[in-house]
Amino acid sequence: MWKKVSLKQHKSSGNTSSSDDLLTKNLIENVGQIKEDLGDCSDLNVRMIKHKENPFAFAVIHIDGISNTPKIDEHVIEPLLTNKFDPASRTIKDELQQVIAVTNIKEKNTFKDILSAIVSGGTVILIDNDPSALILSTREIESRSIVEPTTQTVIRGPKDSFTENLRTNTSLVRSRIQSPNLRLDSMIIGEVTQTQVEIMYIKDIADESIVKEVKNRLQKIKIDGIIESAYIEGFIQDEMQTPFPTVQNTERPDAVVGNLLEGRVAIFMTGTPYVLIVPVTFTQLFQSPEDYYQNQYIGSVLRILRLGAFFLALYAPAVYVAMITHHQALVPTVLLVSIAAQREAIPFPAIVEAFIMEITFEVLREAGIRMPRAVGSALSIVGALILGQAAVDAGFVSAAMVIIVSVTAIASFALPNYNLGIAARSLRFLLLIVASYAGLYGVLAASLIIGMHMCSLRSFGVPYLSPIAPFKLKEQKDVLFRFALPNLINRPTPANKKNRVRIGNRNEGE
Amino acid sequence: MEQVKVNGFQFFSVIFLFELGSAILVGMAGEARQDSWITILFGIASGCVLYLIFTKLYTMYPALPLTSYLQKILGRYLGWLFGLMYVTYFMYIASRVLRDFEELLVIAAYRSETLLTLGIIMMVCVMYAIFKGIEVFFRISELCLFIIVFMLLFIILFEMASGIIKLQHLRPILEHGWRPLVSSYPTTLTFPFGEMITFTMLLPFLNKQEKAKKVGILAIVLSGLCLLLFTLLNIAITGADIASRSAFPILTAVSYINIAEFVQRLDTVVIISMVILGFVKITVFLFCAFIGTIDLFKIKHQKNLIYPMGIIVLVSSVIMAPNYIAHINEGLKIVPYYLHIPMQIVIPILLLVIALIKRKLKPAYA
Amino acid sequence: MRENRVRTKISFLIIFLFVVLSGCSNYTELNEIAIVLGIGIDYIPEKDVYEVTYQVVNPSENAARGTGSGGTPVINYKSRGKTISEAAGNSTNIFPRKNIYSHIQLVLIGEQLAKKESLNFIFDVFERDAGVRVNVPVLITRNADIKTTMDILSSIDKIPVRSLVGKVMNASDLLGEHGEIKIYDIIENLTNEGSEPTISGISIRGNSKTGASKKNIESMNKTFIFLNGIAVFNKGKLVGWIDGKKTKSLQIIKNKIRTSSLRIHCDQKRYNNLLVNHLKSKSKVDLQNSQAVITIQVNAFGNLTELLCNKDISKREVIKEYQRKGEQELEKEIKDGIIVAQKLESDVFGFGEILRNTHQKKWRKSKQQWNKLFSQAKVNVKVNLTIEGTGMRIKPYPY
Repeated sequence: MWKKVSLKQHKSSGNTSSSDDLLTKNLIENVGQIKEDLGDCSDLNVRMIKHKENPFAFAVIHIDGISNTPKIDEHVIEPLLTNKFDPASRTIKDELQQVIAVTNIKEKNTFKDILSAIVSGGTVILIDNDPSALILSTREIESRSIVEPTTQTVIRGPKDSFTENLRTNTSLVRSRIQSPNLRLDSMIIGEVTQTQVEIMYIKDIADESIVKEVKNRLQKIKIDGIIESAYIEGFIQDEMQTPFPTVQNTERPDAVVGNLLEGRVAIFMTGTPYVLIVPVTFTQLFQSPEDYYQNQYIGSVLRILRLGAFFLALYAPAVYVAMITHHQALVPTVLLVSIAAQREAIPFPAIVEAFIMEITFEVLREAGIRMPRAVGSALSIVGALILGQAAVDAGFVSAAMVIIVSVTAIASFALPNYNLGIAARSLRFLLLIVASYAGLYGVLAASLIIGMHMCSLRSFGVPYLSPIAPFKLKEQKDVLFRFALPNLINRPTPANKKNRVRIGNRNEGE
Repeated sequence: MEQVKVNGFQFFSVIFLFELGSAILVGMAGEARQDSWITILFGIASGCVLYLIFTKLYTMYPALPLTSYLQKILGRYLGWLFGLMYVTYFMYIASRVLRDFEELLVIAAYRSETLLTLGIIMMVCVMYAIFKGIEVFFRISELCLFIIVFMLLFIILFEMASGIIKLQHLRPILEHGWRPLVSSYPTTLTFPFGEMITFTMLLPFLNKQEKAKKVGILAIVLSGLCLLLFTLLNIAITGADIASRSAFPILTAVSYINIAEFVQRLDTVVIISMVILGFVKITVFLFCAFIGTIDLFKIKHQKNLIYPMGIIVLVSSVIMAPNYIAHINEGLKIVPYYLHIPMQIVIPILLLVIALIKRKLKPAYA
Repeated sequence: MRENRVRTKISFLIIFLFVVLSGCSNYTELNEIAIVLGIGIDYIPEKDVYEVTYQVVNPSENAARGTGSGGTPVINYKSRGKTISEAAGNSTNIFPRKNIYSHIQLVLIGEQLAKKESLNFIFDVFERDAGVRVNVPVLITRNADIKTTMDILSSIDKIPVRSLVGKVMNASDLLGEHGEIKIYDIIENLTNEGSEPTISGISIRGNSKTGASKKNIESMNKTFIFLNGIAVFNKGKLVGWIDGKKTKSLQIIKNKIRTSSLRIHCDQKRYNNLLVNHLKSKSKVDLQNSQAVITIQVNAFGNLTELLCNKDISKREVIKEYQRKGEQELEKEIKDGIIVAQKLESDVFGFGEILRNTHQKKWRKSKQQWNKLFSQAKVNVKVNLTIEGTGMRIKPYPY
């Protein structure tokens, strides 16, 4: 049932040391080897501890900046310095474990493990005459504080968003779902970056096969490094050749919580505030968490509005061009006379005019993103108003076309999912070409083809267009209209088949 | 072909759209004038009976399409030959329907385009549908069902709101007696109700066997009633005379709609929506031909067949008749009697009889 | 997988080639077409040709911002041909653009055409061509020629054709003396054996020369077009006119109007005015001893809108008297209209169709002579009027 994604096996960039080498008993040798492997970086801290009264020599190695230096000083180095150890003790490591006040202590003896521990912020304690070392997890990174989300804002609702710190992110979700069934599985992806990636799901609500498939696909990823969750997205998608997003991303914790409760799986990653949610269906892309925070009527109206905006963004230029070039009979007479009057002096055919306007608008939009804030406002006024107005007055484009293009562009931003807006914008051009060629018939044929393409998409085995096609009556309560919260008793398709009814929402004794 | 399973609702939507297909456009039982609705009622009833024959054959051979159980019932060589006849028949009808829609578009909307251009656009969609597989096709027909139902509701609403319906056009009843009804009955039965023969090839894809009867009968009755309603509306709006003269009665009726001088000239919108119905019909026929060919010739690289079959259908649709009137005459006078009745009615009944007899004689063979 | 990619590439190539090679022939820019708003068809008997006048939008004049340079908002031009399509073809010699007919708002028929050459032959092109609608109103010119009529510009609506259509609709809604007849009505009446078509007539009042220029909009003393009677046809040829109040009979019997205005005597000299609404009529036609018997039952409600006598309307007898007078007046109007049609031997009311629907066998026997039978038919009209309102004053004007 799953589409097998065959990924090319990348050659991992070379490791410096012979990875499976064991430590020797000689402390100085070990330390020297480690320094050599790590290239003696300026942020590498090596503290040799040779106690006067103790025969033991220790070396505490950590990298500054990614480890919690004050904690290491206080909880590791100080006990090592002040404690007296029995020189004849065989179980020095156990004694150390009783003295060092750090939560996580592991014992390892290969260079590979030690090096990877050091570069991920841990501290390594090497002991003379002992071929294994203690690894402490002391990782701490400077990260942004929790602020308002920048791209997915709501009017009413929580205003915290994820940051680049993995643990902070998972904690934001954990604090909202205080259930022992919330599971978090971790894995490392990326040969060079060794990025930590975690999967979160609720045990009996999420479908087991989907969770397994997610883990499967993540483990298959062989790449140098992943920088943003989009890289993961690119690898685990069912179908590569589609403009439609089959993986959802969000920077809001409440969106993640809502999706987890519906049986989906969330993928967290260090280094980016965007969390991935799989599987996703088309109807879900029109939902914003705000729908649930307002009452049901407003929520339904807004959702229908967004659907309308999607179709507007997709079809408006194509239908306009088709109507005035092929189907003049469809336009009401007065409107037709007015548009004809406007187009009298325009030198370009309608399709060329449409393209010019569309491309100009896309360029303006790109420029607006990268514009430094100081100049940004000037650009928006100049670009939108004056440029459009001047173009109309100069006789390059007709006023009707300016209106259509601006309406289209604004509509494509009304969608809660940014990727969907981009998909609509790209497909719009295709439809425009087909419209100028074959009128509304061509638009219909192209829409059928796009529709069939969407019908054949699957997101982790869930058909992309469910619950519309295949039609599932029970799930219709949350698709177009949003019924009142007490009535949303069924979980949608991705949820475990045995657990379809939301427990808390059933009305007792009704 | 991988055994993809489709659920009952998807099957229903395909049958519904398929039956509406070109019948809603071209009009039914034109000879019977204002009594055509009586003929249609008989057509629905007989269509259900035919469908029951097909489902009985299906229940006897649940996982096999028509071409396979033809061989089982009639023996390998004869059955194979008949299978080939059916495949050719399906392709011929596919190109007939394609021609219908090409003509519709050229006459009513795109007067300067050629048949070939419009046909290519349609065939690209159809070939893409077959390429993607039957599951995708059934899903998109679910979507199309919603769109078409909305459209039909709107047409009915507008027709009523614009006050153009004159019920006296439906009288007098039986003005010309029973003869025109009887003479138009065979065409009404075979087109579109008899075309359910294609579903004998598609029934094996249904996921629950017992649903076949319910879903099919429901779809036939509903689509038949829809056709009935639209035929009645056409006659009520334009009068029996114009309705029997016009090439596309529903378009003529819709062109009368004029609400507040704003909602008018809706015929192009109707045409475009009818294209969806044409798409469903052509894809169903071509699909059956496709499955049949794969079954008969045991082909492995199935996707390679799509292009040749599509091109054959396209080209034959253009060369099959010199103009629209010849095309219609062929469809009304020759095709029903020489093609539809034997293939849709006579042969299936024979098959059923032989299969039942065989079962009685050899109860071990299920 | 590799063959998949090759196949996709070839598919794209084929589609691309197809797009490039066949071109999009149906693509017409807006500045290549002329939007025809009205058509006038006339017949020249000496030369045996049809003369068709087209009223076409002058686009730069009609821009929403009104940046016109002072020309007329529409352009009229005419061309000739033995058939209407030939005339349309010949018109391309005169006008630089392709005509599209899907926005036609009005069809005018010249009197010459209606009298000398029948209507039967001009409507086929409207039915057959997919770009032309058949729900367009039709008018006929009376004592005027088509070009002049179409030239007269009106001050209310810049486009003359639209003002004409507006007049007809207005008159039919409020007064009931004219009705909007559409092409499909005419075709149906022409092809039916039991009814004949009727078309409203228009004439010009005032100086036709100034009417055609911009001076007409600028001055107060205008030339304008008014509705003048309804034309009656027999077998497609114009045979006579119904004028004035008698035209109401047509509208009432066909149930096309709901409101009308009625003037009744209240004493010797003065009149009252009744506004009649909720008009509903039912006709029964039967054939007895080769004479047609037509019974018409009309129900209506009325409001007194103007009282010029001072009889006390709070008394029931007064109201009853007015009701009776109103019924008589309405009956007379309806009967007068039917008599005119009977004289012209043309069943414009559709009584034949009613006979056909109700008494099929009798119809079949007599349908050949129906027009004759109609002219000798016995007609009974019964009106039932109830006065329900008297306006804002409950007693008459005291003088």
